Amino acid sequence: MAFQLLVRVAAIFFTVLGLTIETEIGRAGEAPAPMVWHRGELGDPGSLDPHKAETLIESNILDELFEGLVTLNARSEFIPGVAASWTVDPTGTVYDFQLRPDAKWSNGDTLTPDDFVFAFRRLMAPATGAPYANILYTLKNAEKINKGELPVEALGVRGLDAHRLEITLEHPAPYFISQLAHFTAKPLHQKSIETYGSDFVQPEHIVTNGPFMLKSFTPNDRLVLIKNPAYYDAAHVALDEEVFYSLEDRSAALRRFMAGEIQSYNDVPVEQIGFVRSHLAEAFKVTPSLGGYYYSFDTRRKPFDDRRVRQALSMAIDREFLAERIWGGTMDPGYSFVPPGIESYGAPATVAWKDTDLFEREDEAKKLLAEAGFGPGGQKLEVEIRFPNSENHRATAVAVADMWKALGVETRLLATDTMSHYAFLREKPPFDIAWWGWFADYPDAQNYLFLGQSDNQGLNHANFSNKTFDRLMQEAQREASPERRRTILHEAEALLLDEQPDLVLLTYSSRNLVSPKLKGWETNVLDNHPGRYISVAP
Amino acid sequence: MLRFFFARVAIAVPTLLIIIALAFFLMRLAPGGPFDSARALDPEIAKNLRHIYKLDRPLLEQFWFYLQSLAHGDFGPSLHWRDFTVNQLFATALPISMALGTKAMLLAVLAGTALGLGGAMSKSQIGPRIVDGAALFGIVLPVFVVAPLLQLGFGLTLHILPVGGWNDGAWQNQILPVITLALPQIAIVARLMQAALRDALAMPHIRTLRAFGMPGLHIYSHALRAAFPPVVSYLGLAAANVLTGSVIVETIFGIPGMGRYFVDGALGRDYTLVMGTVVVVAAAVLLFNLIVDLVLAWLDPRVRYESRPG
Repeated sequence: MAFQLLVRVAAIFFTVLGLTIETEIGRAGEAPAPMVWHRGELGDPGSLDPHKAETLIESNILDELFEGLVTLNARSEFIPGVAASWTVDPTGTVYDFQLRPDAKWSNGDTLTPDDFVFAFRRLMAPATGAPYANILYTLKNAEKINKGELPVEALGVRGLDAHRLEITLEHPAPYFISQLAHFTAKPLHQKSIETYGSDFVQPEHIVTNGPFMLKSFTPNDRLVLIKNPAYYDAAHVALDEEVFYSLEDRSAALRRFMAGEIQSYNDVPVEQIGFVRSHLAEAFKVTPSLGGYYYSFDTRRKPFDDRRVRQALSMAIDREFLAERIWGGTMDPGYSFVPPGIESYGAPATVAWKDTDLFEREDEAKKLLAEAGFGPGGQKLEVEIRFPNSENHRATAVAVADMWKALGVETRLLATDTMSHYAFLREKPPFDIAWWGWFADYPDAQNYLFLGQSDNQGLNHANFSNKTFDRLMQEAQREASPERRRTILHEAEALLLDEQPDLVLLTYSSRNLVSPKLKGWETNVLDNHPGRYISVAP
Repeated sequence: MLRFFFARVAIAVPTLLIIIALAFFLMRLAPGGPFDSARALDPEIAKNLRHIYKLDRPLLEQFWFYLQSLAHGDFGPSLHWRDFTVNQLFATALPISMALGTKAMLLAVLAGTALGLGGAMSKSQIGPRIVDGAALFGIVLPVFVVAPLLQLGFGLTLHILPVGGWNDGAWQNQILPVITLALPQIAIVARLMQAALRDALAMPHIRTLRAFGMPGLHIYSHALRAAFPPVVSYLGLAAANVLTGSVIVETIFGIPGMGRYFVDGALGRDYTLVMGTVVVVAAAVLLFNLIVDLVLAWLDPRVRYESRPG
């Protein structure tokens, strides 16, 4: 009896097992496993509304969801997006864009010039509160509209027919085409925004026109994108899904990368660079990016209003030491204000003493300080460096303080939390020296050099004010010829370096961990990696 | 008992109000605001944003607004997670933290009690010392050391558990976080339990039971009841902490729980998010204190009578 029961149970058990094995084999035969890119990022998007976005993380995701008139390829080169082609009038201010006839929204609607008109007007409407609206102040009347002085209808963007969009600019801007790849220049689906209001970004409502659509988003967990079949180039998109993970803890992210749970991550813990270089050499990609690491002098105040003091302090810094020893080779020494790597600008201007030996520079610095009344026989120079609290900023400041000690300069360090630091820079109380960093919004020298303009209240941290510099920047703004414009901008940069209101310490590099299984991933100066070109080897 | 309950609730409500007021005004003293970032906003745009979020109103008026919406159970929109309200964020995060926390606390009570009981029952001197030593180790070993070690051991070396991620709450993803959360609690519960049991075993009524020749199990069940109050007092506060999420555990294991909102909110000056977490944690602490009081009163009738007015 007992034996019979046992046999029966065993028979049922094996039948069930057999069935499951069978069904699994059957399933595997029907459809191949979806191709998924598990992508680690430093954080989550604060918003998926292109008009509320601010960060690089948001930019990376928005580029997958929405496509503007212009977009970027895997090497971060500008290529036509929704616009198939365009022409510019001789004044350089009126652009005529021909849209792709096959451009569609993810719900099947045809994408029209009106979707761009709607999006640009919404961007500039004061009620939207778009933090980055001022990037597109290049559009005619944009600034006045954004400040409530003109109605949105006055914006220089209009549809000419079903496939033609005309954009009029405030002044010629050779960088305008690169601005069109920015997240502020994406088209938006008018009907879904009017129906759902600010909830249009929820997965069940959002309508997108990029290579991917939003499937789900749980903050601090993951954001899942799936391939958009309505995308005009969908035939060449290999990925079925792209999953973004928000991983703030760089060490934990490294472990997850090593376990194969994520296939890429856009940072490494600096203290583990040695380990990464020796164990993950094939996966570790370091390449210069368009970011600068600066110390601003408060040029409103003595003694930092004296060019000699600023030059002396800048000269005495061993930038190779900072890049190699403090940052483990993941930064480059900075000798120019505009980081190298902007194609339209060529090689940037550099400080005059770039190739001078460090000891000679130190002697020269002492001489300059003595002329300014500091050093032996004069006053003692005491300075304070303010920076946001982090291991690397602190190590950098300590090293700089040590280098200045050789000049007889006494340095105090003052670290605050990141938000307090940014609030401090914004409020502009008097200071000695303060850290800041800058990544361009679009790759153009103007997007760095405008940081030294005296009318750039918010971002000219050094409070630098130089009439010649301002005049050069205005000339460059009006210049329609790219060659002449480049020459003027080079002249402006040389002036800025000679004056040294901002001491350039380093230029950033992007540091990525990329699994060898990820194909189509290319290093580039913008550190931009569209999923459209990626595939995952099994 | 009912009167005891209402007396406690009557104290809890004003306490919560005071906490909310303190948090609200203290937070505004911190330099910077939710719209500060590496790229300073155009002053005009910043003004616009403050207007949209009503941050340009007088502070007292903002506080009044906040209390009003709070009375309706509305924590307001998050200033950083701009596509979500704080309620929406908590609706996904709180159940996750509570699920992990509950498992960790159960594990802590079971393992801690077992260890403490084992130590107290041991006839030799070595038993209690082992428990004390192990407990001390569990208490001093920081979570940010334990968690990576577990990830390295089980995830990267043995390949039997995922290193991190939530994966919609798959059990494999919960094991390491639960162990990490539970370890320090096991240690503390074991120590408390061992000490309380030893005191209890020396009490006159236990000696009487022994003298009557009662079986060991019977004696320990009595001793446990006497030993529970200090452990329960501790567990209340610990549960309030563990159930509302741990920022370190959640960050290292990549878990979308409540813990990360405390720190992200404070560092990002997300005023509504910070207020929301303060309210939730304060409410949890008050609630668990109330539960502890009730359990203690049930375990030990003297508590009930002593707290009775008059």
